[in-house]
Amino acid sequence: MAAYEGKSGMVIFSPHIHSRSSIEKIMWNVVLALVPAVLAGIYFFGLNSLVIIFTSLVTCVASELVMCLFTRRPVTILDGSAVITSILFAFMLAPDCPLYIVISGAVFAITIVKWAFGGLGSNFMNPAIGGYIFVSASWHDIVTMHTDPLSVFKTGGWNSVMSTHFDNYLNLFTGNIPGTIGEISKLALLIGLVYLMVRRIVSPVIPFVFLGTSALFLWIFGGLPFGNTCFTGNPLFHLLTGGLILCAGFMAVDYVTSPLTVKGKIIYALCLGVLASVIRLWGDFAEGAFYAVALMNIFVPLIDRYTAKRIFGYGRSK
Amino acid sequence: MDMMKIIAASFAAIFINNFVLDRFLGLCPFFTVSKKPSSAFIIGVAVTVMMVVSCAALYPLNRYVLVQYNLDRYLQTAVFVISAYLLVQGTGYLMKRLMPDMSKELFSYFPLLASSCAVLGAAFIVVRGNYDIAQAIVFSFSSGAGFTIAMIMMSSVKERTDAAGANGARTPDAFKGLPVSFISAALMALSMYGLRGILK
Amino acid sequence: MKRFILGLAPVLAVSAVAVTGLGMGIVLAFSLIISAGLVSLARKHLPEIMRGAVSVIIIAGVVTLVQAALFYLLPDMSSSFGIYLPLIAVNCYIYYTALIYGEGEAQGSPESSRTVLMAGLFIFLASIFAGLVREIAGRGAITLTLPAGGAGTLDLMKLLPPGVSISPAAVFIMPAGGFLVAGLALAFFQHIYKKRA
Repeated sequence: MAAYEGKSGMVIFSPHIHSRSSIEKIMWNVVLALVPAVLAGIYFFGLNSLVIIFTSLVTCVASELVMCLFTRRPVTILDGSAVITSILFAFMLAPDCPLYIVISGAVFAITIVKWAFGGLGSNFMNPAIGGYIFVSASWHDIVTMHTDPLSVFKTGGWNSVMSTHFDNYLNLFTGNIPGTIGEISKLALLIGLVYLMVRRIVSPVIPFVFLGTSALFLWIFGGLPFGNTCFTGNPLFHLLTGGLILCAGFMAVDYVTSPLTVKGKIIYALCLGVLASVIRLWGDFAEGAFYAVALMNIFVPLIDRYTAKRIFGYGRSK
Repeated sequence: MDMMKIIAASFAAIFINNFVLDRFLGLCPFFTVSKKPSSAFIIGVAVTVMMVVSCAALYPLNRYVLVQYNLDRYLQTAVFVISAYLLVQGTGYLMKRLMPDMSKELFSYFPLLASSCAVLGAAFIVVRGNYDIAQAIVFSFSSGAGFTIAMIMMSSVKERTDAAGANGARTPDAFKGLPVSFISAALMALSMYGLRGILK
Repeated sequence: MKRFILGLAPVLAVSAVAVTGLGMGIVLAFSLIISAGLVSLARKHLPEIMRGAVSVIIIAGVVTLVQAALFYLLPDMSSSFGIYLPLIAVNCYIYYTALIYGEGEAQGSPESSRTVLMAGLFIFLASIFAGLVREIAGRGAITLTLPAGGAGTLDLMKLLPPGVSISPAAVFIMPAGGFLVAGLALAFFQHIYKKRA
């Protein structure tokens, strides 16, 4: 069951139909919140970004339509969720990503990760993340970036960062750096995220705990891969590079695939922070946040089982 | 023996070369696990114990009996298969005796019977992989732990995909049951790739 | 009989290369049919207690013979099967238990023979399908002779028009891809089956 616990109580919106309009409101607000980052992606990378985002959008919506027809359910392409998935998926791709990869990932995300499980509310994994891990495994060398600040730091240390002028924190923040379409402009992402928090659509728990745990972990252990001692990490650099803010603000907070209660969210975000940091420091991938979400999505139902409060009329399933 | 190497090898056995998600072993109990994490955990532990015991028993059997007399090429399969069968049957019988209530839940210990592919698989990997006895034990234990983790993962996902429960996932008819479980396994396997490279 | 699908694990495990998957499928089907026949014969003449144990011995024997034959006739394929070849024994055993606990058909009756042969046919077809899909999608080539990727490989990427450069989706030759292909195939069959019902 997918539900959202807000300040005024619990909204259970799947599979109840009469809350449809409130789902749409939420979804389209999220789309609105993503617009700054879309604009930033186009501003910094040009037409390529637009083409990729557009391709992703069309593919996702078309797949959603096909799956609605195939499963004989009401057509939901206007509820905004496919649009969100398409934008978030495009955000994780490099601006020069070949279109056949974009299309494959988008189709996979909607038809398999979302609809094979039953559509909105029934999936356990965030569709955009599912699409990303699919393309990341399939076309690893093409999809994985090597020129963004985080990768440069991981392979060459702070010296490489300095020589490529990635130590300019203003650039890191505004997005004037290489990277994937959506992750570069932390400024744009934060504008959207703050908007969602102010409108009480996104609870601040997950982003804060995720980012906070990561920052702490990366500060304590960040120097170890380079042979330094503890407490020599650079948390600010880590937060401002890679897809951490994108992931913490928009992927990890997905209602359907994150825990229901505050306690659950805290546990979830804590684990996310640790996992993402561990992969960042010692794993093969430079950016661990997306895989961290993928892994933790698997355990969310388990977290819910042990932390969800009883709702009247909903008994413990045996 | 180097502690770091043991930890690295165990990590690899648990996550990178996960018994279920990477080696396709132990699929029968994996796909029929219930959504109760306690059941998943118990079966996982039972299988781990069987794996360790079988490796501990079959390794010397292989080394000092079969290989010594050059019978291993001909008799290895038969001996291992029969031993695994006896071991699993014996465990099932023991469990029925010692924990009659628990066994009823594990419905006529079919999962245990079927888990012989995990047990056998571990035994074969160990004898064909030039391990020494200590490595064999560590490997079988780690593989069992990985198996248990995979079981818990699947039971967690099933909590969400179980259409019958109050959670009410509305899985399409074509995908209900095994198909969606296979796809879940695919997604789990894909997620595990993120852990590559840690503890080289 | 649903449990029996899980017995196809060895096929799935080696189907990253199409011919290996096909080979495993053939070997599995063959072992299954032979051992099922022998076991049903044995069961008729044995008291209840001994049946389980004798069945296992027969299955182990059949698989050992198959393994030896393969080792001498097709050593390349035998080595690429690795540990999954002896595991066929488990699947034969699963089939056997599924049969007795499930349908309860009389052993040796025409129905049960038909079931075995149908199962064998299904395995054969499934292994072709799985192997081809996985290798074509995942590698863009079809290996005709082992070793994989060697001289006897049909490189399909050359068939693409010039200027189109597509890389194959490597996920399909990974275990995750095996699960994916199996899941989609199962969904396909379940869809057809439910439509009929």
